[in-house]
Amino acid sequence: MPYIIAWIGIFLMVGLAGIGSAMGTVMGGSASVGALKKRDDIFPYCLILSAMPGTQGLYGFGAFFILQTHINPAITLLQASAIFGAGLIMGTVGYLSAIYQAKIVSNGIESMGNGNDVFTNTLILGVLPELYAIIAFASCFLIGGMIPSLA
Amino acid sequence: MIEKMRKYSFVLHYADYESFLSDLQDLGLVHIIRSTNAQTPVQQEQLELVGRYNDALKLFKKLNSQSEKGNSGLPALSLLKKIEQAVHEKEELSREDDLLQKQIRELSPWGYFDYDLIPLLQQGGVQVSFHSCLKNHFRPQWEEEYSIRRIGEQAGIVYFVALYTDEKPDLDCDTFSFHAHTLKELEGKLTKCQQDIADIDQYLMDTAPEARELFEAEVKRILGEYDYEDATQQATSEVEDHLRVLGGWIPVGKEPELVNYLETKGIIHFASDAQVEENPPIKLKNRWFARLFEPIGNMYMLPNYNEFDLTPFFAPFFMLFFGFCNADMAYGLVIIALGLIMRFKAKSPAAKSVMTLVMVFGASSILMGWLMGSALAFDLKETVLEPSILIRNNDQIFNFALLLGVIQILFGVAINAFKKGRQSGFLYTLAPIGTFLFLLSLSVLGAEMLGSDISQMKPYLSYLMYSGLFLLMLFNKPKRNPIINILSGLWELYNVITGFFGDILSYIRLFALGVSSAILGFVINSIGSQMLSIPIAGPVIFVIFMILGHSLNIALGALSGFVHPMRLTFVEFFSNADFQGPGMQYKPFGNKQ
Repeated sequence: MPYIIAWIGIFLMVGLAGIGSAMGTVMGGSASVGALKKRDDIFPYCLILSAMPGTQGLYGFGAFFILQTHINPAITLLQASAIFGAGLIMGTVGYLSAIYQAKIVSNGIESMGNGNDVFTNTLILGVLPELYAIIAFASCFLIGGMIPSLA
Repeated sequence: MIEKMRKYSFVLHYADYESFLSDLQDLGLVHIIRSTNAQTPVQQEQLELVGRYNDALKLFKKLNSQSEKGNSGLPALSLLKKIEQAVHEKEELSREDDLLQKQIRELSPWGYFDYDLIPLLQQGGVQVSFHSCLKNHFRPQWEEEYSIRRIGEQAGIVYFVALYTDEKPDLDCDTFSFHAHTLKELEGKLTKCQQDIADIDQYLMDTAPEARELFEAEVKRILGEYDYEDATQQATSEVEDHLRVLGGWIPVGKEPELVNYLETKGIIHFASDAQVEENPPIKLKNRWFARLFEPIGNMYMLPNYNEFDLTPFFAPFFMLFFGFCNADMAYGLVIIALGLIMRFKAKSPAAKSVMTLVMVFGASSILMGWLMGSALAFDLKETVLEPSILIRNNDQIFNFALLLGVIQILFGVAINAFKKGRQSGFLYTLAPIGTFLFLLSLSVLGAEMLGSDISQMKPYLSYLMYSGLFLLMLFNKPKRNPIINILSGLWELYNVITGFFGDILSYIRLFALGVSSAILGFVINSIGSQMLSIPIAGPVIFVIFMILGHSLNIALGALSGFVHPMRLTFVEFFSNADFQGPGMQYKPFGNKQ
């Protein structure tokens, strides 16, 4: 049972963060397609902004990589719970921060399509929600350090 | 640093004003003080014309013509009209092409036949009707009941002809009416239409090199005239419109050239040092390394005139942060190589400067990759470089990210203290110094929590903290009632503590990005090494996979390594250095710059 709980945690960690990133990049990409119809000279900026919500999925994968050494059939319930908790943190925070980051960048892209010079501002504002995915990733790293003591 | 400015006021007789403006434009030194932003009808026409030229230039950029430069002998505007006419004709022909293709698609199932046959049949008493329906809607009994001939079948639709003499057959299907032109005629028209489009394309390709050169020069000329027209509006009229008074800014370093001109021409002028409240324009003046980072700072905003230019201060940090996010010696080499190639290809000095910056980022990646012992995501701890690897595990990377954050934030506060001293006097430096001492003591305590040995400095730490608190609480607004200062100091203290922890946490992103990039690289290596076991094609697939995988990782790392340090610079560092902007960019009137 603990072994299964740990893997559910990994599913949440990689799956939710990845889904969030996939949805986020789609939102950015869709906004870019619309904006490019009006201004075809902003593609490089659209590409950079659309790629921004992609990092949360990477953090989910990175967290899995950090915690994978602790997953084995002999894992205790406490250790599995820690991995489950880490997965819940990384998955939900990664998912939501990717979606909301995508909303910022999509609005920025749309505004750029309307002729406003807001690339840098969007870049700076777009990074704000990612901090929390980063904190979630760092939390997973810290949880990983605590797991051996839970044996 | 920000170059010092001098303010000039020129007094001219109205008859001399236009020649003076021409001279000023040739000098290209003075940033004119604006008195109005209204556009004259002439300026509106000029902008419209520039827009037309720019549209044509965009088109040429897309065409990327490699034809030899011709010589039509036409002036720029005539050539522009001719090109616009050609583009307009091409658009019409493209629409016609679409329509013809649609009509041909409709007619093609019926094949080629002579339309004149239909009236001949009708004269003989035989009527013809043309039909189509979905294949599964076609009833076989129709062929038995009526004289029906199948013509063909395309995309699940059956095309057939019904021949009748008396009553038209009652068929549950679509009836087709032919266009005025036969399929052959339409195909002929389409061929001609496509040939015309190809001719126009060829014309545009052949004309592009000449037109591009002409139009670029024309845009420059019109914008010069636009600026001149704009400058004519900026002077104020005095003495019943007999005099014109024009104001402008000039960097101190360029003043002698202007003074020489003014004295030669005997122009009445008044000069004074720039005052902050007059909002002088900003011209940055940095050495080569900091100058590379000026475009990054400009992406946010320019500082106010009495501010410090923070470019030289954030530049080394930005470079290190990029290296932290892409800490890999091989990646650094790739980035340097890319920068070098792009620098060689770049034409403008600005683009060359950006590519030099890319190479600096690459060097930083090599440095950080060395410190962390990584090359192409392989661990270098078991190589000859082992003794020089200082950051050996994830815990140390985590702490190093926080340490860099603490250093940058304290550096920002120190800059703020120094700046306040220069701007407002010694008393105003005390609160930032207090903040610095307080944060320094907090940082040392934090280092102890992360496992550092601070036993030697711990006895003195409380002095540091209390003296910092004392300065912060009592001097947050000097010359104010001390009791009110203490009360508002509590609010300041709350902001300092919460802000500091929030800012420090933000630097964890360096750890997250660096580790994510390393993990992704490691996974690429692992998958790649498994491909080596594939018989025969294994090594080839391995090389292709490694190149693609690591290229993607470098691209992702470069994006994150640029965007996140930008946030750390503009949000964390600038706020701790109390950066004030936006300043207005120095834009001299004229052709020189």
